[in-house]
Amino acid sequence: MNKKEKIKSRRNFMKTGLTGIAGLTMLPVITSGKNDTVPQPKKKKSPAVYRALGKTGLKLPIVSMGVMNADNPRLVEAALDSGIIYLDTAYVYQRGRNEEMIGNVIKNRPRDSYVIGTKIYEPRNRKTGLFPKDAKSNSFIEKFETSLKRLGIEHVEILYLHNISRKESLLFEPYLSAMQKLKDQGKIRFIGVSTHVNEPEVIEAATDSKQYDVILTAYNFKQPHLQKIKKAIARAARAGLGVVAMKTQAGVYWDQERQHPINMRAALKWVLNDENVHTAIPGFTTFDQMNLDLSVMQDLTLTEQEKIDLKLEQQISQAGLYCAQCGKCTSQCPYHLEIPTAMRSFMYAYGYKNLGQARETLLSSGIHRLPCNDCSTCAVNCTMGFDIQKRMLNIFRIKDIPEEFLI
Amino acid sequence: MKKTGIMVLIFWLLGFSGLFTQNGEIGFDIFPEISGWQKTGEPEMYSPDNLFEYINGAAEVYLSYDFQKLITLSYSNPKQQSFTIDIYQHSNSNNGFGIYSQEKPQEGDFLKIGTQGYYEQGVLNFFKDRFYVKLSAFDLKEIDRPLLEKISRLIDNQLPGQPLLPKTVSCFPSMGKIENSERFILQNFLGHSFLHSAFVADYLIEDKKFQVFIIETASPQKTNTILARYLAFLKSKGIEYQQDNSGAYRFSDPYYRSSGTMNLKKNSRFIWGFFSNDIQQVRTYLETIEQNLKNHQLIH
Repeated sequence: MNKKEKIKSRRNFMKTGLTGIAGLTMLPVITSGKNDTVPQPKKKKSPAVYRALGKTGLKLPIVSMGVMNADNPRLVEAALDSGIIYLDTAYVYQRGRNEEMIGNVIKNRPRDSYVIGTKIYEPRNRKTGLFPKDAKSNSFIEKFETSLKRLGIEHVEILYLHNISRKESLLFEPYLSAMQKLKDQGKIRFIGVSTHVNEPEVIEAATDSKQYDVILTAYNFKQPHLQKIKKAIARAARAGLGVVAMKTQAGVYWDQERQHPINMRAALKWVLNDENVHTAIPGFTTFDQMNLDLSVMQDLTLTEQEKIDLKLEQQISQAGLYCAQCGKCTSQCPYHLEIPTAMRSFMYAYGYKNLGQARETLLSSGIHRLPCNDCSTCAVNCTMGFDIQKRMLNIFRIKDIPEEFLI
Repeated sequence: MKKTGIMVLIFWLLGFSGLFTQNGEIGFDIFPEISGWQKTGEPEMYSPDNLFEYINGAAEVYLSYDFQKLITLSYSNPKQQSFTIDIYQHSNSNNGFGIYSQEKPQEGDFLKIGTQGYYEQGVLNFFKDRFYVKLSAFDLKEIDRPLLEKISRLIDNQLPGQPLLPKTVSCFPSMGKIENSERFILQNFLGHSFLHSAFVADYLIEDKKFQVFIIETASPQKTNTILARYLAFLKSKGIEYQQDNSGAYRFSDPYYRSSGTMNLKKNSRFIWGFFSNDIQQVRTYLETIEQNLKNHQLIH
């Protein structure tokens, strides 16, 4: 955001900020989807945009709060006072302190003035993402009862099966039936699933299962597979599932050294421009960030500067490891090397640390000798911005390692 | 063993570093051999680039505490019981303490392992210097605690660094302090980005809970900048501050009106304070912290 934009944003916020600004009462409320309204926000603090959370009957401001990183009850109070309704937490966050903090904040507030979503994480094989076959529901239910005690309430609106990356885990009967049982008992209103990895498979399976009410998915402009997620989200929304987006600000920084921050307002706008996303849960930790996130509801249109800030044209390359397999490089290379396959090999080695697969993939490329050292300047202009010559020289070393030494 | 050695070489060739515990770095050799238990596969290493693959959403918190690398290994026995050792390396001891303090319970079964640790059913976590070690067991039943303690002590002995709390933590007044409540908040303390990081401790006096903080900055100039930004923020909200003879500031932070008056003081690289309307209590605590900072030679 340039200086002019900053000043403009600040002016806009000063004009239309959501905390105690009288002018807000005049703002129109834009809604989409069904009009069932549980709960109703206080009118004088109405933010600009609400969306129905699928067929749940809940209608939420499109900006909610991911409480995970907040260690400050005043911030949560300020969020609720500013019109935010949905607070997202989990059994595991801060070893329970997160739920306890929320419990302290909400204890004197009317139960219909906020919506709580929490998540239960159960042990699983970290490599496969699958639950042990003999896992039982007891532990799941005990954890949930603990969450209720920490929160100091008798039910939550949404209970998510936490961090699912496989269809089989999504449909794992003991936990699914546990959630159904809790729903029948009135301890939860809606069954949800959260997913950070392999999201399209999980979302599609949740939609097909007809047993889930809400999905909480990572979704941002930097994801290499965002088109697949977008498509899965659209289908879920059409089927009536509520769609909540997380990781909307794509890691906050462009670089590993955390020196180049992403334009968070623009990143949040990008997600919320997809109307199949019903609300997002940015994890703000300052009052300024909260106000910035809330301010996107005044106008979701991405400015030209914001588009530039998000580097939308180059976004895929920012993922760093994932080759789009467009194949344009092969014809640019004077030796017509099978670069896309080599880039997959690079991803297996550095992304998944699967050296055996990396070597096998590299060998399948048919590149027996690497001529890259002969090119003083690589002629390949990768559409994702990869330094092809450097990566080729790097990954080709694996070819000389005997297969039996690679697992 | 030969295969393991060659794997190490391969990772080295591909640019993965830190495979041996030396020069303040941790390596795969830190994972002990444990009688009756088999290592499950090879140890793994994660960097800031791919920590997300291992702990998903929780990675953000670790990264915010300047996470450097993680090494992890699982063990299992013929009874199908298993446990995992995760060793997180952060950039310095403040951040090691910080990430540990973010996850430790308010009331726990605390242990003297490393600098400090705690046990919960199936979990033993401790920190030492810039390392945060997490042992997670699955279905160990009655052997859970003794086994996790034994392994933790083995690892503790191999970890570089000193088992000391950050000096600043020792400067909190003892009266009314809730034991083991100290934490290190790396950024956005009190929800203000200009306050950056702070050590905090919880207090309970006559059923009244409050939190005391000590902000440690890089230089006296930085201290002045932070305070100036706080005062400028107040001014932007139309709030005035008072300063007493001791140099302490008193004002009403607009986001914390219900918490009482903010009282703070600065000296050299430190700013300390808390919310309270009790003038006598304020004087006592601010002076005690100042004296403790002097006693620890953090200020003159």
